[in-house]
Amino acid sequence: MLNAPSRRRAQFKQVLLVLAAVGLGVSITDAWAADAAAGGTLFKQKCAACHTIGGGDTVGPDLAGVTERRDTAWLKSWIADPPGMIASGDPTATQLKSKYGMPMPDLGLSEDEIANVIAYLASGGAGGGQASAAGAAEAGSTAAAAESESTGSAEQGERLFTGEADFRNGGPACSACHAVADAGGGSLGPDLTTTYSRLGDAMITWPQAMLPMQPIFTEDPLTDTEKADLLAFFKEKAAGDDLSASGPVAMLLGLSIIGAIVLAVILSVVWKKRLIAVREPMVSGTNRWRR
Amino acid sequence: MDIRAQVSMVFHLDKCIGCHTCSIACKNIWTDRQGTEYMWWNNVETKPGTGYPTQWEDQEKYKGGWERDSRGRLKLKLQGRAGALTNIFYNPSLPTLDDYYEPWTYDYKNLFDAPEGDDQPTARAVSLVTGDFMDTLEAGPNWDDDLGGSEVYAANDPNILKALTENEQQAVRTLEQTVFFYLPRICNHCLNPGCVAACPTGAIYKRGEDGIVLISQNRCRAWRMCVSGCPYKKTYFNWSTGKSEKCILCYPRLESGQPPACFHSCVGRIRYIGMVLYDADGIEQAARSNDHGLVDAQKALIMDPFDPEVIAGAKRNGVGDSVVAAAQVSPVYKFVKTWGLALPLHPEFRTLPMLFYVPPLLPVIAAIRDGQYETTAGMESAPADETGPNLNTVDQARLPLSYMASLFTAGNLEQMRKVFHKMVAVRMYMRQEQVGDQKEEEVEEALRRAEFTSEDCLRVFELTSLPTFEERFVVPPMERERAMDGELPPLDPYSRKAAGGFGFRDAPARRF
Ligand code: SF4
Ligand code: SF4
Repeated sequence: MLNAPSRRRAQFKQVLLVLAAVGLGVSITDAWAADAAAGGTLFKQKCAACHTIGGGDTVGPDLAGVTERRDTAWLKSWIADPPGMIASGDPTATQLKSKYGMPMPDLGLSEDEIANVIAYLASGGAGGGQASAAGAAEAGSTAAAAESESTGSAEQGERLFTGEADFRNGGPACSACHAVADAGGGSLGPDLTTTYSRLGDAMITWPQAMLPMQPIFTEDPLTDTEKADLLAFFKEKAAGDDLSASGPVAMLLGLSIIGAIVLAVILSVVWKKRLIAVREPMVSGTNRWRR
Repeated sequence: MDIRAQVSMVFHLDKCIGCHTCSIACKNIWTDRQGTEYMWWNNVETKPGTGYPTQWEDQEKYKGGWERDSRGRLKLKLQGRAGALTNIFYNPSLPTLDDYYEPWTYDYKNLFDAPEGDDQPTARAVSLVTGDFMDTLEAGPNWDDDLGGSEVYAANDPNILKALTENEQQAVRTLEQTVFFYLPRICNHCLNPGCVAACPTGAIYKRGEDGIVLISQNRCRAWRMCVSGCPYKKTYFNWSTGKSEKCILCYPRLESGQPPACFHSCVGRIRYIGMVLYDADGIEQAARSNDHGLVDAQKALIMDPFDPEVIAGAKRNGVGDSVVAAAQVSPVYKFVKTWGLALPLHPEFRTLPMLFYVPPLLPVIAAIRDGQYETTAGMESAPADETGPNLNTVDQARLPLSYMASLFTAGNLEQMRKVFHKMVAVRMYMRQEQVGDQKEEEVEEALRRAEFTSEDCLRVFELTSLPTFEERFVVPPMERERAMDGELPPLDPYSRKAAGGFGFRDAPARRF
């Protein structure tokens, strides 16, 4: 009788196995039938900021023919978790990182999305011409940004960010949607305080490459000076944040640990004389008559 | 002088047979409700032993009762006002349920309902608190009854650990010499109660007309400070109602002139109840006496009920005639004051307990030696000096005098010896009267030493061995009851009624 549940569990496991096998088959065929068109859209949103297809290396390598250069499994795991691959010491990953000076960010794509992107890459960018064109355009401006970086003014960048100074082409101020540590800002888009330390100068290509910013800043593009100023601003913030970002958290943690210890000490003094038990220790221990 | 009346008690330990009838009588009437299963308002302990709750006498652990500070003032051992504040949500000195014991019943139903099987069905123990089966029973209210497990329990009797020398301990633990007696305990309805003083809500009070200490179930707020404050551990927390409860001395029975149930049912007839008149002005002074003076100071509070001044004082305080008359024939007054035979239990707790004990004259092993009946301790080593072995009973008792003194006189050996001398005198005198096998001069020596006349011996004998129901229990029906019966000028029966009893008298007001 007692066995019944465990037998049922065994049956359940078998069913699961079968389901998993079927599911695997389905997902394999799926991979082949992955949606290249959807991959194209994703590429535009997530990859085109750094990559081109046939447009030459920019922030990251040109991805034309990448599906022939690397096997699919490697591509999948690289896209799924670049930091993990680097950490695991994968030679190709390490090489790429040193070549381009920074790792590929973790894009948070699902397995299906990755399959779609790979399908899109395999198709050689079919239907993605637009993206590669955009990518090519980006390549130029990124190079320009990199060059002018040293000349950017963080102060001007801050004013541009907060909207105190207008973008020359009339684009909306960054702080409409983004926040940066002390400068504040909106919460619609991600907080940009530490973005520079992750993406470096490449981050400035995003307004013209990423949805939903892309349509706005394609129409009202940033000038090279503005880009340089913004980058200088972001860089400064990111550097400052390395020290202070952990600050409040560490301080809170430290304070609460110290507080807990102090409280425990006070209470143990106040309640020092607590009576824990009488009978049990007496019986289990100390004073027995011996003859 | 502030003369008040107190219903007071004497237990004659020489007569207790340890039958627990008293405990059962009490439980059947008062503590058979949910949440009270573990309470024994009346319990009977074997001494030496650790009692209930375990080692309740050890106030280093339980912090009950009073102590004197450096300036000789009384303060609760538990905590002062500041301590009470820091501990208001957290009482540090409570016995755990395990120190009492986890109450249980048995799964009797299984004996009838068990499906047919290879084994005889059993009735497993079921906890009355959790309802779960209990695999091992490790404690009970009289777990060490009759020295059961004495190598642990008797060995850890706080009186033995505290008051006995290594040699005396050795003697007590030797099997052939091991002795025990029973100590029935109820609330002492103290004159200076620790429970009342410890209660932050003032829910505990001492009834004006008879000194019974009660917990108002309406006002109790479950702080449980009384449980810690009482050194006798005679208030208990009802986990079901969230209120503390204690012995009420069967006041509904007293009010109609009946003795409390434990007194009424006592098989050994060891219990006496009667009124005493005491001077409330002297309470604090008495409670502050030196350890060895405590018993005398407490006895001095109890006034002579024939003294006209005392009677006048009682009248001034509204003590009724019937109460004064009862105090004049009180068996308690005789045992405590007239004969000086009864002593309070652990006077050093300084609560001035109003339950007194006649100590057991232990042990008596009678032997005929050289044609003489001897009640010596039966020890071969007993020195047969010229005063005769019978007179030596006290100092050769197998339970050392220091043990008894630790229980009844705060360690005052002389006082303890005096009481035993009186008991020996009565015993020798009556033996001589009825059997005639004592040496005349020894009996005389015994009487002289005890400061007893032959008349005293007879009276003690009568009240010890031959008392009638009416002589043991002299409880005047409380005036309010008689007034209701029309015997006295009409008195509003509710005029002196305080809250009491169990549960709420009035339905709680609900606003929503
Ligand atoms: S023995 Fe009774 S009156 Fe005395 S302190 Fe304990 S509960 Fe209170
Ligand atoms: S009923 Fe009387 S004799 Fe029996 S245990 Fe109680 S006090 Fe002792």
